[in-house]
Amino acid sequence: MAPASSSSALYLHIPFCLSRCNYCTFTSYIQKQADISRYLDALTIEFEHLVYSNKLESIYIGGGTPTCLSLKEIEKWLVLLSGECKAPGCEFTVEANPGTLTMDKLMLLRTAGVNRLSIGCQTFCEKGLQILGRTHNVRQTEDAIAMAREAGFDNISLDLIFGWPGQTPCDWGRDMEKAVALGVEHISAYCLSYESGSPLEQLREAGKITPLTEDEERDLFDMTGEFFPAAGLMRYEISNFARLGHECRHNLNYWKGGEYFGLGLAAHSHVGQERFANTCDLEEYVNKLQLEGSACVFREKLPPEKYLRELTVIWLRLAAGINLREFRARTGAELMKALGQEITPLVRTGWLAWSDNHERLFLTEKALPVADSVLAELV
Amino acid sequence: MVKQENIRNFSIIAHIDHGKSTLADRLLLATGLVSERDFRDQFLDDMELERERGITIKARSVAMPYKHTDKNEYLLNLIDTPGHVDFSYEVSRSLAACEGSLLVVDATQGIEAQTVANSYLALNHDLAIIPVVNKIDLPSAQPEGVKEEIVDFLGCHPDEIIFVSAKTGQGVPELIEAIIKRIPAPSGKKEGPLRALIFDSVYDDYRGVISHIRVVDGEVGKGDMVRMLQVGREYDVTELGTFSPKMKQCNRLTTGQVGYVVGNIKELSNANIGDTLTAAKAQVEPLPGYVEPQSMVYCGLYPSATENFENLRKALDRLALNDCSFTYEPESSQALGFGFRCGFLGMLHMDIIRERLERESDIDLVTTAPNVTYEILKTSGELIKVHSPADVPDRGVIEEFREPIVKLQVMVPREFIGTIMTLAEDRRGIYKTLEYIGSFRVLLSYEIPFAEIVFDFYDKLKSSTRGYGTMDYELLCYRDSDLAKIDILVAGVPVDALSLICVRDKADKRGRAILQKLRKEIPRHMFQVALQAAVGAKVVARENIAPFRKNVTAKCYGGDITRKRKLLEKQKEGKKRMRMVGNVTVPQKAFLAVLDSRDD
Repeated sequence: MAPASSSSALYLHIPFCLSRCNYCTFTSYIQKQADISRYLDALTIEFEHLVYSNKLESIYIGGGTPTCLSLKEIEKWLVLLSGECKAPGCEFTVEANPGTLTMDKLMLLRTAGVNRLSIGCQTFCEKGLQILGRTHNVRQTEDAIAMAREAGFDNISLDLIFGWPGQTPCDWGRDMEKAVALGVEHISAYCLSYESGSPLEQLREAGKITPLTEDEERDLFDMTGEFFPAAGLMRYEISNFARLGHECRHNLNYWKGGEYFGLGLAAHSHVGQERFANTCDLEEYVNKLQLEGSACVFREKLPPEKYLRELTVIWLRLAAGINLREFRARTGAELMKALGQEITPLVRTGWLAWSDNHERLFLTEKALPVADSVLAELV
Repeated sequence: MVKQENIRNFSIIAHIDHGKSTLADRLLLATGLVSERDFRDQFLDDMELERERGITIKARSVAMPYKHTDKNEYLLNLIDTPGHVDFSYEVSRSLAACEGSLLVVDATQGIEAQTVANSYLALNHDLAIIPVVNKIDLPSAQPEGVKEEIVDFLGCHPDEIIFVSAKTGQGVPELIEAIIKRIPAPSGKKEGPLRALIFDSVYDDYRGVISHIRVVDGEVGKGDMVRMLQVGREYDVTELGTFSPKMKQCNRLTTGQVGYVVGNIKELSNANIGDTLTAAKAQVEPLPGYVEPQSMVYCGLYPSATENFENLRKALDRLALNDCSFTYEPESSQALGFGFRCGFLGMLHMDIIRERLERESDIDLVTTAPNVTYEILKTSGELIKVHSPADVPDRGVIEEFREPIVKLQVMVPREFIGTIMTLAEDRRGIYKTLEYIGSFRVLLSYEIPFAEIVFDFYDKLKSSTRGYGTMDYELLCYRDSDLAKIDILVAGVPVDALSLICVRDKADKRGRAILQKLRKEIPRHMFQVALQAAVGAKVVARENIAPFRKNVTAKCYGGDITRKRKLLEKQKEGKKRMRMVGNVTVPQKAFLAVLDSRDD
């Protein structure tokens, strides 16, 4: 479906998990042998239909839990990405959950060229893991990281969630300390959101859990922004922190409005200013691919102004903000000509600021915790 | 042609829901004017809103020919009156067109405040009153108790009371007999110059204004040249007729008759209710009781979408054709843009107009809090009417700030006397009288500022008397009071649409209540929003809306940018439907905060 393009990023979705986490509404199925094998067949078809001209600079395998599959199954999708599709130095990330990683699997990934692991740790607090509905324990996270290091992974990212019911600033401080002590190169720290339809949301509606107040969440958010940079992990995006040179290339491409292919169930693509999305239904996905060679059910090409607005609000999430020259190169448009009317008052009131001699526009420190309110002015 | 002495003109007066319209329908059936087959409930209430709300808004009339067993042919003209205090002027004109009135009382409820008010109206017009106890078929009916109340209240003989069930028809023949026997025939001079009372006027797209008249003296015929005495305009009568109950053309209407005339009149304001219709050249005294239509309650109506201003104007023009008792003139507000200041007879009238506007023209409206009309005597001696808080001049030039005072009558079971006293005194009511109606219920009279009761007093009364309390009021006078205009400031900017007039020593309390309400209605912003209530330069209350502390979504699932954009767009959309005050977005609902905050 996606036409040939200069895109050099690929996302591949593995929609299977051991169990569903309480906060999750993302497309995933509890793993079943038959489903997995049909899915992987369909995925192979989709991959074969993919037309691309450039070698891949980044690959991201997300889920679901890509590592919950068996060795054989993992091999099946890894094989697609072996060899010549990758540019030299391609960033190749696989999401992994503690408790699903074994040395065998890690070695397999390494050999296939995977050079970055994103480990869904979420918290080092057992109480928190339970509330979030995670099936692993703290020990397993520590083991997973140690094992990954042993297998030679030198670029590891940890996913952390803060703001779960009952979490104290003390709890969060301990989580952050632990994450830093483990020496990972990258940390994504997300504030828990109560997605509609998630078990956590239902529990909240039923009054069975008490969410943190906005002020409490804000305190944790502020702690995050102070703690990680002090430990050498710089904030390069609202929720993402990395040691210098370890920023996630794949995600940077998202934020800067770059092109990417998405393969698999519910995966999104962005090619030639058009956005595509595959179906979220496993049956439909498999059937459509077998019949049509594509599972795309949604496509939108935004009108130019809307496109510029979307790009602006996404890009501004990066700490470095928007470089006007880069913006011009990507869009052929002048940011200030298009959105000056909205940007100027936000600069005047201190939510946005300029640097590099008016060449770079970024969200100020005080804007970060309320970024959505600020960005809503621009969208 | 029925002889003048065989005509009976009568109305039905009752408290709301006591079965007035059902009884009217039953009379149509009993006199054979409408057949069982054509019959539908509340035959006379034909406006969609009237049926829905179960109330009569416009006066109706119907002529029922009736052949009596005494071999005489009678003409029974029923004039159905509006059932709400907002329309009491119309009621009084309808009563002026009659010689008698059926006073209907619900056998399960007894006499209510409106029964009392309407009875006094009827007595003032020297009407023959036939007390009727309705709904005697209901199991909960207490006809004996109600009979006692009526005897007590009217001072009539118990035998004068007629017991009916409008629903089953029981007692209706006796009622018709009473109408014929007890209500006098019209007494006008047949030879005299024409005088007819206009007791209602409606607008028809094809024929223009149709005036409902009662011929008092003389007669009127097709082709006659007639004059509206008060407005001084002359017209040719192009059509006239009676209601049976649909309009039925005839050639003449004679003394005592009720019917309609059409005369190529384009505007309702040229055929005002209460005006006298006479022959073009005749020199006659106008019939008594004429009053210019007067708006009691004003509010601002603004289109939600500013581009709908012209559409709103057209809709108002169209509605005004049918209802000359509401007024509108353009006004502008910094917060709401261009709209209209509209005047109404009362709150029900306002609700009806608003509902009709939204229903018939599909325009989404923002309504500002209603206010009553004030009078201000300036130091210069000039007397001005103030329909909007925005028009209140500087305190320095105000000699007297006058507000309308009404006579309020409340009917409650006697155990609620204390409740009502507290309620009325809270609202600056001055106690006047207490009267027992029967042995269990009392009629309390107060003089009270109209502004204190017009908006929510009725609801308050109902809720504090378990639904038993009923009320009625009439305008008494304008009286000097210590009033002040409260301005509301949002982030330092005065919001004209939120200003209100209230008693000076309650200003801080009202101001605080409004701010607390606004605090709930205005969403949080990225900065702190200060809310202030001020009288003149003095701030009397203050509240703050805390800024957002945290509003940021985290994860971008597998490159699903669309979802993220839509989330932000939704936030932005929400703001679009709001109004900007300085740099603060204010939702439309907030403009009613003044109204909702009364009891907080």
